[in-house]
Amino acid sequence: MADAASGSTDKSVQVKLVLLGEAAVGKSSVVLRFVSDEFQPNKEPTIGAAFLTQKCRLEDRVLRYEIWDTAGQERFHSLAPMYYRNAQAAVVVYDITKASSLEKAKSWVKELQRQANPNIVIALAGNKLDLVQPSASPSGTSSSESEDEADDATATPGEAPSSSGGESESLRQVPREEAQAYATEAGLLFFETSAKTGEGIVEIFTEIGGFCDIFDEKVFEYLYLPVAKKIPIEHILAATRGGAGRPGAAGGRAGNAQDAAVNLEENANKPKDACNC
Amino acid sequence: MDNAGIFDVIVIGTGLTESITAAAFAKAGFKVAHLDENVYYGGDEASLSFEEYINWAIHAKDSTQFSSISLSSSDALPNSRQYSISLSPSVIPAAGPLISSLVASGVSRYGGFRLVEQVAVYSNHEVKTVPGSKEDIFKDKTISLLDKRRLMRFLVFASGDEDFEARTELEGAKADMPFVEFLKTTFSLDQEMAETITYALSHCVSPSDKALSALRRLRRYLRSAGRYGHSPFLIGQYGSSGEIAQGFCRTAAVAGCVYILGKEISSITRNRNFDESQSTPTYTLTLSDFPETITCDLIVSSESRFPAGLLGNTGDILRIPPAFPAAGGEIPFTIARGVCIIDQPLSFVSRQESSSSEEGDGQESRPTLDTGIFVFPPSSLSTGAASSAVTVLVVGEGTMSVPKGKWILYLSTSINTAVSPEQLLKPYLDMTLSLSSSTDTSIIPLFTSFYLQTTSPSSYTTSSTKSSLNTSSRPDHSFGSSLPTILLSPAPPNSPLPDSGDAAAVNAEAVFWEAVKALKSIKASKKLRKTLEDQVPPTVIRDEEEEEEEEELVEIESFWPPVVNEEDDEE
Repeated sequence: MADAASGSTDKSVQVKLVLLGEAAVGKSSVVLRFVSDEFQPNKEPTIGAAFLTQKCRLEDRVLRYEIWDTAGQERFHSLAPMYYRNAQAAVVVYDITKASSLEKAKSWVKELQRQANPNIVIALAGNKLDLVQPSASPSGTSSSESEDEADDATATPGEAPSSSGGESESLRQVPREEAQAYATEAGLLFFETSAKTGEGIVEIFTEIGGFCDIFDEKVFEYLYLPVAKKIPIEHILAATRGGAGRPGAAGGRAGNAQDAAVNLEENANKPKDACNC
Repeated sequence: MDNAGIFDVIVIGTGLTESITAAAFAKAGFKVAHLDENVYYGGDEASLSFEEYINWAIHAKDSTQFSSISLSSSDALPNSRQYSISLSPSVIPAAGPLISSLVASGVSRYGGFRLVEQVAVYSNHEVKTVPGSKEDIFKDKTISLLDKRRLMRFLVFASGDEDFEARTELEGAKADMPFVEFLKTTFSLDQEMAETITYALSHCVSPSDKALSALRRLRRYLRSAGRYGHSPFLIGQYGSSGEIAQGFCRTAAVAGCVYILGKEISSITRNRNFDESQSTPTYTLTLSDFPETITCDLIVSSESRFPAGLLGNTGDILRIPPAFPAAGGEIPFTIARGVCIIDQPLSFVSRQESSSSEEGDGQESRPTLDTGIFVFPPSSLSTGAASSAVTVLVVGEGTMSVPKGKWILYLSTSINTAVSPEQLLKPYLDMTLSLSSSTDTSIIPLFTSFYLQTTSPSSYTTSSTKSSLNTSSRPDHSFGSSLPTILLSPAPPNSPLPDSGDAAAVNAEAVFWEAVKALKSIKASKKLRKTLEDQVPPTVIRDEEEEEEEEELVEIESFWPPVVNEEDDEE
């Protein structure tokens, strides 16, 4: 019953990426900036899509990010185990103008280390960098991306010895050095970003991709069951979720149990046995 | 966030039925909160890690549904988190209502599925492969030519398009005849073949299962074969039902449903001034360790999770009768279950078969399987006492619910009398492990657990006619005070193996439509009151509420709105 759809043969690699972080730190905005290069100042909570996809070209290969948003399920600690399954990368977002959001980010990192694939690539992103930058930001209006979240951005003057100067730096509650030190210690990629101006956003995704590249597909091959289990990603993805023309869906491994994996959306009703005796 | 705690519907319990219902509500535009007292999704159909299972077993002892729970050991196996042990092991017919709902709602993208590789039956002290297709029957050398003809005649009859009622084969009282007898008398099939069809193809539970309902079920299964492969059945990865429930919950969340897990409901208040002001919600709920109260117009709850004790007056409760199985399904109330973890592969090919098969030439070992169903017809095992069929569902690493090199066996049989589930099922487990061991020695389990599960009979006391919701047991709700404001969704049947998921999907849809009806009546009655009030001195009515109301009275046309293909938004 070789069910394998003869998919397109482009060399793109799929990466499931999950977003985590406290509510209103700008998770969805980060993705929106990356996926459609947009910014909505009054972004509603959650993104309203199952997941967003975005291709990212990296030297000779194409990474196809499948980005999962929490859909608000993190609010009351109700994220399902399904959310973490087979995630190859995670972006944990905090708000540099809100110290508690870094603490929350740390607990998400712990949760990822507990729940997710041990090989997961985690990036820590300190968002809302525009809020602490001088008014010369390219967008012209230096008003915060979180006008609507003013209560989140309560200014605590005098904190955070500034590294770059500028009067807005006073809004900063998380010094870059502190977050960087934590990221290094925990083995995370680290960025400071602004979904509003776009600063640092694409870098997150290209660097994650580059990280995966260094491992030369090993990251993708060893999924979820890291040590003993080797299943090519094409199988997992074909098995995990559907869509015609999935890359590599045809690459079968003879005699493997994965042969029976099914893609529900592959709706073709195969003709039943033709015999009529 | 002004109206954060105000919902149209609060759904209690994250079992598959409730999760599907919640997703449908959220997608239809209602404001929904979905609660579960457990910290995990899935309720009584959850998929649990090994440690969570042990924990569940220790705590479920207090519940009315689960009893006689035994554990061979409460020490965790290594890689506990790589197990997804299902509390409601099941398979899914490939062309059934659950698969339709999965595809129509887009939830299928979240879950992986695989085909059940093989079905086998215990017959004449051997494991015998059940032919899954006409091809298989032709190839099967153990069936005589005459029997093949008879079998074909039956399969053509069973899988045809005509209503069974219209067929001469079912004339007389044959529809109510036990299925095995029907097969023997009407289609001249021998006992062995009749039993195989009854228990391994039609998945009948007991010898008294009636012909018509068995035929209807068989037809559904036969039509499922060939959709995704030659097996009619799929099994979801990571524990099937529990994982699928999570998928529906995520879809609900994406559509705006709010999730609060791990909180017990500490009070439900029916708001007294409900009748006085149109804007007052029907119920206010408080949760333990949760600062905010939440309100709603309608509560939808799984029957087993509803905290009825918190509510004095139960006159507003409407118990939705199961819409599935449609007719004549005999559903057992108590089922004995066993869970067994092994670290050696099984083979559902008899030693005889494997040595005689062509592919077996030159190979010593028997072909092993990842996923399969092994059925013991009633009274087939001399050392076993089960009066109903015993089924063994095997899942391996292909279902992503075990670590590599491990398999879970789920045993189940329905029972009429109180027995120890372990005593009852142990002989069947032992026979399975010795017969289908791929080596010559019997397999020693790493872990076993047994329990009884009782489904409240009240769910099934409906008439056996095609249950029409309009003629349900509901008292005549005259306009106004006695609108149903709490709907209880039926628990899915605990057997046969392929039916619980489809039942959840069908029942969820029934609950959904009933809820939409109820919400409309509630809104309409409030609106009427409002217009009445408007004639008296005008009370202050905030605009946003008016708008909301308009929005909700919009006609809902389908259970699942069309899925937007989010995959096309790339450049």
